[in-house]
Amino acid sequence: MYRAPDGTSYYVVDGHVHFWDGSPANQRNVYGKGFIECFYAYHRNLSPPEWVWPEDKFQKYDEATLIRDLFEEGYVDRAIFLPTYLKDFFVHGFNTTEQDAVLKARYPDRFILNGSFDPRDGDGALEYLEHLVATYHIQGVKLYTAEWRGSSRGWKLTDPEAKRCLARCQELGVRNIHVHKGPTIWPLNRDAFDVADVDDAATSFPELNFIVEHCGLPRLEDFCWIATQEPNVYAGLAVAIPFIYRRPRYFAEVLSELLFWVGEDRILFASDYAIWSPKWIIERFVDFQLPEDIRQETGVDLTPEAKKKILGLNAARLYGLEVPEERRPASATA
Amino acid sequence: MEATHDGGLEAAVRAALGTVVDPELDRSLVELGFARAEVLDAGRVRIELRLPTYWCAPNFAYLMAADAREAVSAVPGVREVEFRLLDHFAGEEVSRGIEDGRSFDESFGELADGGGLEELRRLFRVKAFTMRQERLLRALAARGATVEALAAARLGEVPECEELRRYLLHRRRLGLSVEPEAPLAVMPNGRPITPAELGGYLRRARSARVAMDFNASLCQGLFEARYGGLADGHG
Repeated sequence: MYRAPDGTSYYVVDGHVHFWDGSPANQRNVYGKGFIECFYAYHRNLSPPEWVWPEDKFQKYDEATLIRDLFEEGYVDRAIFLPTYLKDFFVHGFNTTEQDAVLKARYPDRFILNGSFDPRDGDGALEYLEHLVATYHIQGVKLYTAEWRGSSRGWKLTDPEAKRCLARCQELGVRNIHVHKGPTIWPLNRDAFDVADVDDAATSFPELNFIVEHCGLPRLEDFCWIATQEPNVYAGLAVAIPFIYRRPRYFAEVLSELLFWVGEDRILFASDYAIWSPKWIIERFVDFQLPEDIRQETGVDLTPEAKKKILGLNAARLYGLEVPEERRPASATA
Repeated sequence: MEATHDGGLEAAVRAALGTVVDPELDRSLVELGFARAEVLDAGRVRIELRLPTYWCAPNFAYLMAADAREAVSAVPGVREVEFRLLDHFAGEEVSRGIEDGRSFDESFGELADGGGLEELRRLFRVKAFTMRQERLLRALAARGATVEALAAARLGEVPECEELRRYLLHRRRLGLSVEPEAPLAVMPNGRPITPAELGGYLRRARSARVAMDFNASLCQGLFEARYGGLADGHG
């Protein structure tokens, strides 16, 4: 919970956190090294100087650091683990469900554990999904369509094998499908950031929620258009929201587009920890106002109620979390 | 950069490289700090491309690399072009492919889908056109033009300004008319936009412009985080 200087309380769900191991010992090859170095550049580029970590800490941080940064100092009530396997790049995987599950077991009320599957495993993907549901009772998955696997450089939500897995998700009640659409790594001729496959999947599986991580950036306009057509598509703010420090004007522009097209009920706060830490983002976000000219041009506003929804209430709705009474907005109790 | 025997060639090569743009950001590669060219000795030029991340899409890298090689090769006096994409996961494949004059599909074999890069190039030319048009129309609206007036306007009626110059450049790239009597507000295929359509069209174009500005800022920030700023080594 974050209590703002004006006394208003905000229930906080961090929609995108990691507990990764990108250390040299776990790097399988030059791609693993390149992957964590790329993350580190994001971290250094957009964090306030006092929040920039040394590289070795960033490669692998410990449990105490994570717990402190998220819950003790970071105001987060619940954090959503989104695994990123990358087993072709990292010996034990970069950040698997099994690794996250260790922390989930120790702090059951703090974490939401999500799984993942890779449709290229065929029947194995379905079996793994069923195993995750039986073992961990997951309510969501993180899908990384750009992941390399052998000679494959990625897959699409519209692939028949992927649709089979999504159908099983729907049957098993795994309702929240977090799709990574952002910085990507596959050499194909087409535009690899294309979000069109989300459009198709959201239509095919109306009972599932599709949370597009990084809100489709850099294809924001395509994402916004899809989200206006598909009521079950959501915007995750990872990568966009840390702009609030170094490039607040750009953050305001992006957020105003999301508020206009997608609406305040379908935007989710996410730090992408440990790329960024929630504390400084939350403090600045609660304090943030859209510039007057943007409000005029777009006709949207970032009200305290919208902030409450974005910071926690929207994710609470998707995951069925109990929100303490005082932090519900007055108008949402009806 | 070392002094060369031929300052004129050096300047011509730099000017040629300066015309090459990042299709995604619609900005000059030289301006962004991504590309540099060096005249090694009589008629031999080395082009280096450095990108914001190790993972930048290789198809975009290939487009930029091929454009850079073509622009520099066309400079009178250039006999041979070396090309290097540095610090990139596909650096070897792209560098060798460009030096040998191969296509993207030839360089990446079965990883590419065989469709070539022209469709991608066209897609980003359309995006760049849309954004330049939005900037121009927005600027005109800020000076008092109504949606109806904008929809009815001809190119020749628009006062000279930087936004107009850029917009005309992108119309030319798409093969659209730049004659004074041509309609100002047109779709990427050249069809005039009706007054009823224009408001909605501009609203969507705004999202595209916001995305491009955000992306340019992200890419430049990552480039700085990686290489310590534009000036370093890119004089």
